[in-house]
Amino acid sequence: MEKNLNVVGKRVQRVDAIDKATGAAKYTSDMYLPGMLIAKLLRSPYAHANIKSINTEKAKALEGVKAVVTWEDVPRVRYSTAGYPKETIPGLVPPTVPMTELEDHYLLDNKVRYYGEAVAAVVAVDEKTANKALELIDVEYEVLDAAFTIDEALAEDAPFIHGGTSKNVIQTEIIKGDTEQGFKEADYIFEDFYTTQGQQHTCMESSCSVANYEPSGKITLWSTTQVPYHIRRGISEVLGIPMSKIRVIKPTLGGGFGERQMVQNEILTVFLAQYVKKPVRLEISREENIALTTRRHPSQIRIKSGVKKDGTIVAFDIETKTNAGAYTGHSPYVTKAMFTKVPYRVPNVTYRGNIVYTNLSDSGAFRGYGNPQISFARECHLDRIAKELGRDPIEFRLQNFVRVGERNPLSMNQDWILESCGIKECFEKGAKAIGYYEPRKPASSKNKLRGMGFAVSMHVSGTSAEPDFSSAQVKINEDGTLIVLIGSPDLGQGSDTSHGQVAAEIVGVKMENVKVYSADTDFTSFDMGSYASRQSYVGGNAVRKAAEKAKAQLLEFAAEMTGQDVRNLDTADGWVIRRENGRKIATIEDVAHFSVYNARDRKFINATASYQALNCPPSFAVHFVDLEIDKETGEIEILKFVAAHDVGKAVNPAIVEAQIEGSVAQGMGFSLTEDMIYDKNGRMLNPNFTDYKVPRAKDMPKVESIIVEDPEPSGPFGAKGVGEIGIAPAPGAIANAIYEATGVWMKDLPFTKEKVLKAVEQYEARGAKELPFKEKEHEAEKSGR
Amino acid sequence: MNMQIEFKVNGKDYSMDVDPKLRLLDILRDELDLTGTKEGCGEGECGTCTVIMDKKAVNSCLVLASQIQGKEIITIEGLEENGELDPLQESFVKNGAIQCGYCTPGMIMSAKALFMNNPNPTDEEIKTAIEGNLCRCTGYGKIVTAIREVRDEK
Repeated sequence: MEKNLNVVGKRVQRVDAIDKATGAAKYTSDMYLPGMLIAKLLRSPYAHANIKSINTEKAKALEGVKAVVTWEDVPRVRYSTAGYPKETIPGLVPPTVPMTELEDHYLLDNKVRYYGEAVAAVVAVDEKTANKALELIDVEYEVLDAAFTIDEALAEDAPFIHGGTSKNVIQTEIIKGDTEQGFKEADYIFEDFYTTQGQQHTCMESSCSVANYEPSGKITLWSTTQVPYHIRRGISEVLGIPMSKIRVIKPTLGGGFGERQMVQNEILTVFLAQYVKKPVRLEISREENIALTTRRHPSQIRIKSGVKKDGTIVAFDIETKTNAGAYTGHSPYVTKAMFTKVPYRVPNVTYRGNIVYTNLSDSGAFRGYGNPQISFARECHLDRIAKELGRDPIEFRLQNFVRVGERNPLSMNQDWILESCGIKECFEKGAKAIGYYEPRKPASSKNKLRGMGFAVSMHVSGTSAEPDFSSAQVKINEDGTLIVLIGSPDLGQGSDTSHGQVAAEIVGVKMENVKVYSADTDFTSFDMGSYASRQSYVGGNAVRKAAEKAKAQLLEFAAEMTGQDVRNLDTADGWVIRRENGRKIATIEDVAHFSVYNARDRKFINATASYQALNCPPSFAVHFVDLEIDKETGEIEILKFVAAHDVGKAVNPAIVEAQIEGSVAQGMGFSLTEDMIYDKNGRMLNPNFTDYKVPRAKDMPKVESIIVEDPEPSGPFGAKGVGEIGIAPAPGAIANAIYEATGVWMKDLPFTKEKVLKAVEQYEARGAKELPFKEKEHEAEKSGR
Repeated sequence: MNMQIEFKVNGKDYSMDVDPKLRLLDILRDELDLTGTKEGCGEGECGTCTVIMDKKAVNSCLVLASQIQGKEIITIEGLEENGELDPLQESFVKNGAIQCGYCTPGMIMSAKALFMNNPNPTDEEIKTAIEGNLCRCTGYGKIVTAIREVRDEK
């Protein structure tokens, strides 16, 4: 019989909410240690240059300066900015690419590869002195030609920026089935080309590291990181310090979104603290944060589909070119992700990924990890096919959608099966909420055009290239309260609360009696970090297993204490109960007290468990948009946004909604206003919140989030991931709605007012009287070409 | 050259000998250890450092020491009364309006200033009041709900 849930599935108050609402929560940027020194970075005014000489004498002589370090002072050890362990760094990069091209970063180097790259670090008594010292460093550069866009870097006469499978590019190919044969079987062939721009995370707390050095050689690092264990390993590998002497702590964190999945300045800050034998703080400015930290990969995507007359997609030929920036970082995995995150059962696929190096700071992990780009291209392309074939776009998607019992599309080296999929319910509820099948409402005025569109995405619950892994610990105090320890950081998404709920539900205590500690490498248990939407599923399963072990120990003591058979006992809501009728036998508090004070063989209940993922269940989402376009200004107003998500089980519905709503906001920013613009020297022109336009309160429409729960058998209480997927369908949904309004396919993100106005001009030129979505101005091309 | 300034923070009087160009944000965080007020951009564009000065919401990164002479300042730490959370704080907690929390103090202070001057704002006025406060986590929906609920319960 299904047990009633007391904590899981409830809108439990977040464990960190009161500290955050009162200003009591301490972030890395709130850490001030006695005698702490301030570090600042000297940044290159050239995008590509050899450093011929650096003179630091004047800077070192300035009063209050404690150290000035350059590439000559730091260990000459290469590392990957992705932070992954060595064996997984290559991703799907062909083995012909040597490891040195992937572990391609030094703490400081004698060459700079992007505008603003760090050249030297200054440590001083205060910020003012540090800034003054930066001005006193003389650097002689040999300036080299640079390339900033994909096309520039691939041009024959492009400068050499980075090695790969050939100059400035790593080409990879993934083949499934026989694409040539697939296209032969197709009745129609469609081909489209899309581009997407860079996007910046703009976490509200800027990147900050504070390192403390103790005379024993012990280092403690507080950092705005999503990956404390990867950072600890990185420090150990680059600086040669054993892990026993490195403690990495993630205090309260002001956002992550993938930016902090990268190695930031943690290793350098530890090096500096060790160098001056004092606490050192390195915090970057907002301008540095927007311009120089990792971004979402700008991309070019060509997608070609072979479709049969009945609407079956038989072949995909997809080529992506991504602007990786100057270092490899996460590019191999982001490229792979573009291939796997396809929820359609297309038997023949050829995927060609081109990781293109340029003289920009490195592109990397950002919520969605390649998915927003590929979902945008694919969903616009499929909408076009459906409309040109006269098919209902929803039915066309469902016809080709992967089914439960088939191979999990995220599988590459595993034989994972898809065990849950709530896409149909997402479509039904989403379409109903927006009125997709109702007659279209007219625009609010003559000056406006109105349209509706939708797009679909699928995303991971943990890493999919290899089985994911986490571990957790659950302790029961002698008053029956719980301590949960987990390595993966809460970045603000609420994983501490969700993990606490899973543990509370299983052990059978009230949520207010649970304390969760995360992300302190000396005390929490090993975990990969917070990324890949892995906390609910992978971390949640580790917590589930640890809690089950702790509960089993608790019940043994309860049996001893009450003289009852352990097989007849269970727990719920603070009590040990009889399994068959729920009768209360003893409080958990009394049993916990008994375990350490009165039992025959006294024991502290303390369980650790590891979880290696058995699957990577995909989460699914459909976003519907109803929008209006102002014909005079090109401004898009989203009238209604409906986001339907299959999350398996919402451990905390309020947290799940918050993830969906926040992702939609970032997806809207990506679609409409956010763009990273560079001048001809590779310097970002808009590194501030006035010119880099993150959505504000008035920009956001009401987002109606719909939670669909098709339980995932391998998930804790049926849960799957939800953190990232919500950003992926938004651009396609908006583009498809613009098409309905104007009859123009928008193929280049973002949809600025200027671009929308051009679409309106085309619409006006055609003099369309009836709704454009009924028009079929393109005939499907015949096959056999 | 330093100057002597007198001002009030969270009901407490202060007299300080400071550089007149020091930012209010630094006085709060570095001198008074009130780190609930956060720095998000240092240019008045993100609102994370919002505090209330004489009943108006201001970006404390744009206010200099010389401008706070005789002023009454309230920070996020000044909202609790006798250990009771301010209704706005309660409502943010209850409505799940907090994720990473870095924008939360500034967001709450903007809403508090709104209520000081306009106890019954429209939804549009609520959005206008927090237009200068960026949030990258929530999409603002639950924040607006939290503020609206305080208005409706008054």
